Amino acid sequence: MKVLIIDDEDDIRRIARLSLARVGGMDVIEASNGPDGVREAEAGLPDAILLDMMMPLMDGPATFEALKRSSLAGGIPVVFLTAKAQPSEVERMRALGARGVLTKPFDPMTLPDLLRSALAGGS
Amino acid sequence: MPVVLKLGQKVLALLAIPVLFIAGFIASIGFFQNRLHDAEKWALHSAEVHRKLMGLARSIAEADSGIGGWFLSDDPRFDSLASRARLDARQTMRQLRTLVSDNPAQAIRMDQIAALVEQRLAILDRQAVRLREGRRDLAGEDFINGTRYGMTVEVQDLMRRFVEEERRLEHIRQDRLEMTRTHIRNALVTGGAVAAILTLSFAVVFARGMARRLNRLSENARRIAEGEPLLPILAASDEIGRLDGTLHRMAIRLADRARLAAFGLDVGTALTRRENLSDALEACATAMIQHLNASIASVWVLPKDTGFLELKGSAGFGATTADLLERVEVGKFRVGRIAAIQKPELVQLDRDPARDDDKNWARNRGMRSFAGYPLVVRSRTVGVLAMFAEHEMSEATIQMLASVSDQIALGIDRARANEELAASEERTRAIIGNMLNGLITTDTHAIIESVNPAAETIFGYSSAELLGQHLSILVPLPEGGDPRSFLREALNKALGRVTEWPARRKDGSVFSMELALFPFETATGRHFAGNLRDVSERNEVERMKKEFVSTVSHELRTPLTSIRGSLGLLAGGVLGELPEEAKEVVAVAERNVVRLVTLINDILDLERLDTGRLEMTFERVPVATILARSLEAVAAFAEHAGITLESVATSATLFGDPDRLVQVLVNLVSNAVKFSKRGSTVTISVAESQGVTEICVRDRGRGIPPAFRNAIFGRFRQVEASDARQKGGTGLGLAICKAIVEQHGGTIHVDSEEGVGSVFRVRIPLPRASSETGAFRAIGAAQPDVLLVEDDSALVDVLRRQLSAAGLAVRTASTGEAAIARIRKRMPELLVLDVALPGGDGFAVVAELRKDSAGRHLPLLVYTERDLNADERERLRLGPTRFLTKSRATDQEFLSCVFDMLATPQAKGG
Repeated sequence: MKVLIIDDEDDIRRIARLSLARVGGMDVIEASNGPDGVREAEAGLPDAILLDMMMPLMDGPATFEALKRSSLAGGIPVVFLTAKAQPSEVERMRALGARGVLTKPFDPMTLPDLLRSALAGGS
Repeated sequence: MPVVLKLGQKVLALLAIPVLFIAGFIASIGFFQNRLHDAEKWALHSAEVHRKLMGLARSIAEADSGIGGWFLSDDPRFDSLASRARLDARQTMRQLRTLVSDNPAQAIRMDQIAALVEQRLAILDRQAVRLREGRRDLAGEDFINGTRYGMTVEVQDLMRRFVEEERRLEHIRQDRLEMTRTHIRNALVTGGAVAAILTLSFAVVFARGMARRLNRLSENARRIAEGEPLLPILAASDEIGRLDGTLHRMAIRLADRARLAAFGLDVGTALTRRENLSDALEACATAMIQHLNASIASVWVLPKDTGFLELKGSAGFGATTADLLERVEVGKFRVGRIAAIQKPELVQLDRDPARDDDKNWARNRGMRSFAGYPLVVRSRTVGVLAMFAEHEMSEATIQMLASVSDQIALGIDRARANEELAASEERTRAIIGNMLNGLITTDTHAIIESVNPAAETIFGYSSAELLGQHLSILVPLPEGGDPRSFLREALNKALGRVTEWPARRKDGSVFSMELALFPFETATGRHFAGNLRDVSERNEVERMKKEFVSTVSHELRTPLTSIRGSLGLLAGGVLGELPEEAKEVVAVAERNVVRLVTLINDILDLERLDTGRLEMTFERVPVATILARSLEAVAAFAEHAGITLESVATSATLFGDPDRLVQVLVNLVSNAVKFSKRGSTVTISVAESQGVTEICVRDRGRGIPPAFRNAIFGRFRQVEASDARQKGGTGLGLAICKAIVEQHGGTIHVDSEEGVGSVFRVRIPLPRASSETGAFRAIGAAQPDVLLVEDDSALVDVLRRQLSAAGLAVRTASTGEAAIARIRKRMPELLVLDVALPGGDGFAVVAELRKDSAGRHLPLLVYTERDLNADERERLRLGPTRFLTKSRATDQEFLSCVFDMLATPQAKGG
């Protein structure tokens, strides 16, 4: 299973990569901003994308829209990773078509399971 | 006693004396006239006697000659001649007799004459008879008779003497007549002259006296008119004298009046012109010295609510303040007594038996009398006038004091009122001038009448630039707004409450201001005042706070995410086994990071709860689900702590936000676990009654001391300060629980017994009975019915439009009473309630609705300007109840809140 992590924070990418790779045994590719993320997604065609909400230039929702428009990456399920925990925002993400919403800070030991669970249908 | 003659009597006298004189004079003339008449009569009498006597002689001669002729001629014709002559003679004799009858001497002579004549006539008769008888001889004898001659001589002699006598008498009488005439002439001349002189002199004397005195009168009258001193009083008791006396008295009265008027004028001038009361009263004292001839004058003032008169003005000899007392207790000394009994006092010091300190003081200074007068306004003593004089003063002085006492008393009273007013004004001005809020007053046409410094600062205008301007210079009119209706609309919106307005500074920048208008009435009519505050800074702070919250939630979470992740990976052994000690240290770090995250979350939650921005999603949810989720979350922790969790099976349902309710229960159960002894049990039970679901969490811990039972729901409160560190709590958990439960319209409280344990009870009301079967019939069928209770008509318009546009049926009520009436008529799906309302405020509406079972569970959105404290929130709860603060919620937030409350139960629970 191949996961693309799009997050502007290097540290968080690193932790997430370790978590998903070491704990979850997943292949991980990374991008540090929206446009790069779209390119990586189109290039690497991962099974899932873990997308940060708040990024400079192109934020999570915008990146998500760009991904959806991509003919190559359009079908890849997206799970948001956000520090905003307000229910209305979770609702909004779901409304946008996200497969799930995971909150920061996350427990690296449970993150792979949460991701799989989200992809499977529940948040 | 001198004879008192009135002026009339004098004039009478003046006329009467000449008149009497003339009357006497005329009487004496009459007397002389009579005498003249008599004299003339007597003169004529004598002439008559003389003539008659001549006639008699002639008649006798004719008779004699007749008889002689007859005898000689024998002619009988002599008979008749002679007879007639005798008849004449006899007749004449009788006449003579009568004529001289008043003169005895002449009468005697006449008798003698008559006797002789009769003898002669008798002879002639006899001769006649004889001649007729023809006895001539006999007749002739008688001629021869010798008696004849003698008789004739005798008769002649007698007649001569008779005539002489008569002549003599006639002379005498003529002389007397002449003399009388002379007398009359003399008398006429003399009397006339005397009368003339007399009258003239009387008139002159009288006129001169009158004129002189009248001149004096007129001079005195002139002097009165001119205010000059009068000539000495006339020593006369007649009308003029009395008039002069009157003039003198008038002059004295006038002088008194003038003195009084001058005194009053000086006092009045002093009171009106002088700037301060002391100067004015000093001038009053000086006027007392000048006009009342006093030597020392003083004016004492009795300030309100003190028992001491204070010397405020003094003048005259020795009247330096060092010499006079400056404070006198009411009732002490003369002035104090006058102040106490409110009666004037006049004392002749030499004769007054009483011995007072001040009397001796005055005596030592040569004073002989004292006069004092109380100054009273509305039966309250405001002061005392007092003065000493070196002479004996009279009642008149007291009257003079009386004439000015009211004026001075009112002056003192007015000055005092002015001082109080000025002090009050100063206070008000200081307050208004120094208050942080801007204060602007306008007339009823929104024309600015006053601006305080804070408002000047806020708007950047000077006061002078704003006065007379329309308020819209500061508050921009909305598009197409009418300046004339501006104030009315402003009043609709901001009268008696704080509302936020866009405002414009002088530099054109627009900012948010909070404005509360209130009306007030003055003598110049109705005005409005706007109490305003620049809230742009506060809004900015608010914005920054929100931003901070956002920052905390993102910026703080981001590094925490990295730290937490790193530690998690380390602790999880993903990166290889750590040495035992390193594991411990990493576990400590991880635990504390988790705690820090919890703390941040709690703080964020509380902030959102406080501002009504904590999002809640209400739905009908089985209590069992909430219990299961909560227990699941706490299970590991409880197990670790060696605590058994015990819960009952329940079919009860709740209406609320499941996530938040789980948060509450997790918190309560974690607490229970934390404070329970290892091996003990924490029991969760559920009970339903009367539309309320109660969840109890019972522990068997150490219990909570009574003093802390309410405090534990406060922020950062734990029973022991060390608990937070020992037990790993944030100290905010119960505060959040309480806020969440309250957002559900519920209550939370604790029963506890020290050493036995505690029971936390959460009571959540069901929205209403019908909600079980899909209460919000709005969905898909009718429009949801919202009752909007708001008295700000402008706001009502806006909200109604928005809610209607969103497909809701909106009813409105602008007063508490109207709201109750509308609810009673038909229960709405949601009640949006302002707190500040006319006709029963929001609290009253809620209290009324709580009385019936349906109203008690009505969903309520409290939408108010007020910051509500916990107690107020408690009093405003019905069914699901949420609070939104007007100034802190956008229209969008308001709407989403309404939709949340309306739609959520149907969408999720229905």
